[in-house]
Amino acid sequence: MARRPIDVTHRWLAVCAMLVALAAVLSPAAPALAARGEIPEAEPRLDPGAPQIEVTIGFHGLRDGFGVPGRRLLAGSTEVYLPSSAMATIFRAGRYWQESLRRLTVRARGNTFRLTAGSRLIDMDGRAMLLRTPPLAVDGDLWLPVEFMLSVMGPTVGEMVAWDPAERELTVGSSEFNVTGLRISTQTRSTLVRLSCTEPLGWRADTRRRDLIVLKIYGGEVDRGALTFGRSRGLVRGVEARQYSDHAKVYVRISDLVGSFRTYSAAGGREIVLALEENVGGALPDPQPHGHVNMAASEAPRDVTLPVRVRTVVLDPGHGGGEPGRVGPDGTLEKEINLKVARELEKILEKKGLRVVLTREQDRLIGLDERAEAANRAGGDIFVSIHANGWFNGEARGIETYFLDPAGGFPEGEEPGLFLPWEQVQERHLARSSDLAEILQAALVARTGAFDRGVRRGGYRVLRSVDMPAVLVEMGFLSNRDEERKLNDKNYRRRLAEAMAEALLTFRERYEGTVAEEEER
Amino acid sequence: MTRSDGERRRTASASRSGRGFWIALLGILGGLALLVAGMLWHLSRAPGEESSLLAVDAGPEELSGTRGVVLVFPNRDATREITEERQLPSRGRIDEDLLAVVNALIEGPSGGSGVSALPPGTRVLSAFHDADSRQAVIDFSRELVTAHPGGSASEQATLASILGTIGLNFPEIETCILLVDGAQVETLAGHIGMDRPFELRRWR
Repeated sequence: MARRPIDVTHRWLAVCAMLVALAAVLSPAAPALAARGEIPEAEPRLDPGAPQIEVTIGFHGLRDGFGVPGRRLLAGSTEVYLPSSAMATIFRAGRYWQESLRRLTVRARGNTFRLTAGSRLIDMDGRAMLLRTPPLAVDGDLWLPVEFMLSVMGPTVGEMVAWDPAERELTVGSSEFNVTGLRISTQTRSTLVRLSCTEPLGWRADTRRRDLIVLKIYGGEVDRGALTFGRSRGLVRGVEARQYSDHAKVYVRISDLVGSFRTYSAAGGREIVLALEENVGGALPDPQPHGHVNMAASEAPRDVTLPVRVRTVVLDPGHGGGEPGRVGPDGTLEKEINLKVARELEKILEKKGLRVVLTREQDRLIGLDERAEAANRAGGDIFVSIHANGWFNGEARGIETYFLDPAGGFPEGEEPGLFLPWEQVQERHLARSSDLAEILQAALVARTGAFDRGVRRGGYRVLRSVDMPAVLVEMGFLSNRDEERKLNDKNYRRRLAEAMAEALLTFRERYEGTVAEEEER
Repeated sequence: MTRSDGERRRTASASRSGRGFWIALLGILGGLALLVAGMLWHLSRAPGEESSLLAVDAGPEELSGTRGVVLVFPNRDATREITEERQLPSRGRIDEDLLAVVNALIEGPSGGSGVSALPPGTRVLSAFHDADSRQAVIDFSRELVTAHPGGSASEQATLASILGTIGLNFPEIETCILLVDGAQVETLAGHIGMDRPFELRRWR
């Protein structure tokens, strides 16, 4: 009798314990139950001894191809498998492999896919998709059938993907091209070559040979297939395109009947038009100055209407005061070299009758915005910022010239009005700035024999508020002992200054044309 | 005596049985609470709410995850960029992955053909991203400026390595702000303006 309540208590405790245990078991199992759809199917017949076969990955136009190891992993199937690491490199996708769960998560262009080893089911952002052959886990990675590249990754990243089973080649054609089409139309005495672009791009037209016009498109990624034209039409004798790391070049071969050409942008900047005019009257006038440049951002190129005159040159010796710039291994201070070359250049230009203004004449620190302000106040027509370069070791060498890359200049969808904000003023001079950079770079390399690092673009703070064609010259690497020694040599510095003077005068002649000739007379 | 003994025993056993009931009730409630918590925990991670890659894989096994990333470095003589694929431990949280990726950039490339474009001694103080504005903020120690070798080429390379790598590996991030010791700086070494967020698509 007396023991009964205690028995009841024990029974209650037992029930509780069971409930607690049940809850503890159920709570982590809940997701597993809910995700029943992902439970892998029976492991397919994996052929672990499948030999490696070389698969070639090719890219249309954009990147160099490479080889990856492929394997026919599924017994009785010809499907070729590639490791997920290769997939990530090909499609620039993020991936996350969980060995313990045998699950791979792939992230590309904002989409997330989950694949489980041995399961044909793919979870695509909550939607299910079935592959013909399952991915397989081998050697610590998930191997994916080529089918996955074709039917899932291609559409996801917006690229055409093609598989050639005979050549074992996977070709990825990017739709990231921004120069995508070519149209040639003829009129009685002229031919129009229209390049369609997906965004407004800046370009420069060159005629180094009478039969060839080269359009250098800054930031262009060209669909070479679409821009190749192997026949004659009107005044055009053929078109070809080439892709470089940060620009594309379109080569237009022209008839010897062409007397002049001009380039302009149309369709809201989404078309670069090259208009070829037949020569009228026999004598061949020089079509245009040697280089014709345009930076398109709107239908009416912003800088074409600006008057051209070169009277005042602003030289900006970089760094100064407490900011020495790069210090060479032998202790050379960049700020001193910059000032010395600027002084030398000042002397030469003044002899040629130009007015020269220096942003600093002494060894003192001036802010980058202040330098731009001083250049604008001085009424400068050309701005050259003079610098020496630096690198993490002693191996880099050569000369490079920069003009402004207005990255992030305009907020999305906003076109500049009549008045440009102070930090965007340089943008209307970009065409001439890029031309000035090309001329300076060519002259510097020719005079010094230095390694040519080319013309580049950069988000230079000192350039963006300068209201005139403006460039920044890096005359050589102070981190390189050999170049440091040269920059310390007075004669070498004079050569640099002479090269720059020559380039500035070439620029003046090109843009002032007849004005300069009149003056000489 | 006997009666009172009996009464005391009854009272004691009654109070013992009452205590047992309350313990049992508490046990049941506790069990139910655990069950509900477990289900809520699962529901809270429904697919629609995944803001970061792989949030769905959070849990004890998450530590076994790795993330394949492509790192961008300059080559030794500053003439081109090289890329290197590396597996980094990952729990699938973007902020942690950002930190890991930038730390890998500081560490430098594993082969001899490239160099780290971040000055020696630089540390990442914090890295986070805002999913709504698709913007990342990386805060570096002052060595990023004080130990920088200077010159346009190296300054460009530092930015290209950081921004190129983030651009390639984090498609969910569109712009990036680089801070030094928690504050914006005018430039790293007197050249490239750092006062505006960098658009990653231009560095990819």
